[in-house]
Amino acid sequence: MKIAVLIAPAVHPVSGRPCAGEADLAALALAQRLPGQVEVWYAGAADDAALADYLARGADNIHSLSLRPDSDVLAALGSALQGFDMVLCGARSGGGDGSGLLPYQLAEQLGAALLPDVLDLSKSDRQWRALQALPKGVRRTLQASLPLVASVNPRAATAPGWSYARLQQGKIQRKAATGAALAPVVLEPARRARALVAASKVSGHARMQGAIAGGDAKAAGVVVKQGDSVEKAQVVLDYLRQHQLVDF
Amino acid sequence: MDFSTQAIPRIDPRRPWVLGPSGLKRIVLGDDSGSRDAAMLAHGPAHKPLRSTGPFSQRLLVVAHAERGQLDDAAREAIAAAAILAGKDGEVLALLYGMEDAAPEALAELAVDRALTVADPGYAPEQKLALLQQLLQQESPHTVLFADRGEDADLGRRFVCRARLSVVTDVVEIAADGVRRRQPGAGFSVRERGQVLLLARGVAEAKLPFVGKGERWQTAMLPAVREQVQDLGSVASPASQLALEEADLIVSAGNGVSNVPGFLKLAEALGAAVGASRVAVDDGRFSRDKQVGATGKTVQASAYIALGISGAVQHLQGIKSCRHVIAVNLDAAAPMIKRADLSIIDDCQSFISAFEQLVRRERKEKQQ
Ligand SMILES: Cc1cc2nc3c(=O)[nH]c(=O)nc-3n(C[C@H](O)[C@H](O)[C@H](O)COP(=O)(O)OP(=O)(O)OC[C@H]3O[C@@H](n4cnc5c(N)ncnc54)[C@H](O)[C@@H]3O)c2cc1C
Repeated sequence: MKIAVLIAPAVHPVSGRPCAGEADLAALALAQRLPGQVEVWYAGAADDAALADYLARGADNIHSLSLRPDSDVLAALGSALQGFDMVLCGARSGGGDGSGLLPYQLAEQLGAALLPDVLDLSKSDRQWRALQALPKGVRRTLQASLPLVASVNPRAATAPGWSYARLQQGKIQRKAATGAALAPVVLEPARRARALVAASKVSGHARMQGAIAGGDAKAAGVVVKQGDSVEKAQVVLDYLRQHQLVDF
Repeated sequence: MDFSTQAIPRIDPRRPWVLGPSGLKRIVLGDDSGSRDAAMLAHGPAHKPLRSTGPFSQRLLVVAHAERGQLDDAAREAIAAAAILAGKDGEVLALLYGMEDAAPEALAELAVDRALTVADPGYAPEQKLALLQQLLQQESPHTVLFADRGEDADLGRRFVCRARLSVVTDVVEIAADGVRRRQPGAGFSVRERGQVLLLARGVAEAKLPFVGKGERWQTAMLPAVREQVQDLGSVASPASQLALEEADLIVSAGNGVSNVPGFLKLAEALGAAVGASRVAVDDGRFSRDKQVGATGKTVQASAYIALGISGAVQHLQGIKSCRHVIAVNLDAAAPMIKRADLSIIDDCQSFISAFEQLVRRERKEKQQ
């Protein structure tokens, strides 16, 4: 089985320097646990120094598709990854654009099944099972057959620590590639984002009323004073059941 | 002085009044027709006007998944953004999963003009995509909006890749000159408005001064399309084993809880995660990682049960996104009571033991 791991440099939150992204490292470590031949791929404009962290943390050979800045990596990656059975990447690249779209686009382009936010992958018969992380601690098991694209949760696996020996031994193979130019973006200095607010024609009185009553959608809560503790406990349980917050 | 002889101009406090067009009380001097009731209608819940009566020439579509029949704030904001962007001739369509029981008034209150409600099939991205593709063809909305979190974000990304539409993700601001998203290390990046927008939190003010039409389309069926990926079911680990930030049900203790072992037994019986206020943590009753609030953890639980917590702003900051807050407190004037959806005025200690026994009994009955 051929597994491709996609990596991209992240921006270090404190120093602002390029470093390895958590989710990409987890993807790399997860792939190395699976039976198969792992290749590490990168597409973009970053130089070798920005990728060096991945060498030091377990990637022994990185295939880098060098593109001009501001060009779309999808076409280049799509054709490079054609024969792979499994493509793993971090859910979102840790810096720069990071729209989280790449796994979706790749799955569409490769005609592969998409497994988002994966914590673990295991084989069962001819199919693959993925444990998916959902909000609020829910875990879902998905089953798909190859080829598949999975975006990996940062907590899926831990990459080995940084090692100078691995950094020295690792190699980066560069290949020139081309991609369509992305739509130009204009950068602006940071400020507070302005929310869309509906123009309101209500009277001042109504606005004041809204300010004290805390709005209309959320009416003031119910206050229960009567009864002993047992009855009040029943009220709370009824509330929890009414809103399906408990399962009994 | 003799006042009785002087003509004192007296004002009748019960002068008749009528309701003006703006909903305010109007007193017409010298008029004796109208209501004399002391009840002031203008102070009741104000009736919001309809956003637009149509006819509509263009449409916006919002897609959202409800949780337990209710939309969360992110989804409400997405609908509000659509309603604000729509203008007089724009119609706000909504494709809502898991809201088939919602009343038309509830839909109108959300500022939705026409809603297609579909029972949530669980994991079925291909079917949902097929329905969305159908809608895109039938209604040709000029913009489709999703909240950029959870299932909506996933479906939105699948949709743009399948339908090959232009998209901007993590939108933090929608303005006339384009949409903005945060650029790490460089403030904002401004782009043209895509056909699909995935909205970050805070893009729009969810509180609207108008309502939508709240009409319901027929309740649609999902097209029968084969799923590429099979769902083998999901498990929710009990909240007590989760990190506080991930837990869905939290019981939290404040200074009013003196019987900590009893409180922990309640949490165990409920299967809830344990939180605490800062005072309870500083006292040494709970470890620091249990602290909820500005200097502790920010939690996202659906239900937060606050026992003996006064509700200082620093604490309330941590539970901003909790949907259901239940407070137990001796003091009916505590700020927590104002925040809570259900408040019990009672002594914590007796409530905790009563509630724990009730929960254990009901659980046992359920198992039999
Ligand atoms: C910079 C700063 C940061 C802070 N950060 C946080 C934070 O992150 N998290 C946090 O929680 N706090 C924080 N605080 C502290 C916060 O301001 C409050 O002091 C704290 O939240 C109060 O905790 P409490 O409600 O448990 O205690 P109290 O204020 O003492 O309230 C106890 C409540 O329990 C009720 N009560 C008493 N006995 C009973 C009984 N037998 N039965 C029922 N009810 C009873 C009382 O009526 C009262 O309402 C911060 C403060 C500062 C200055």
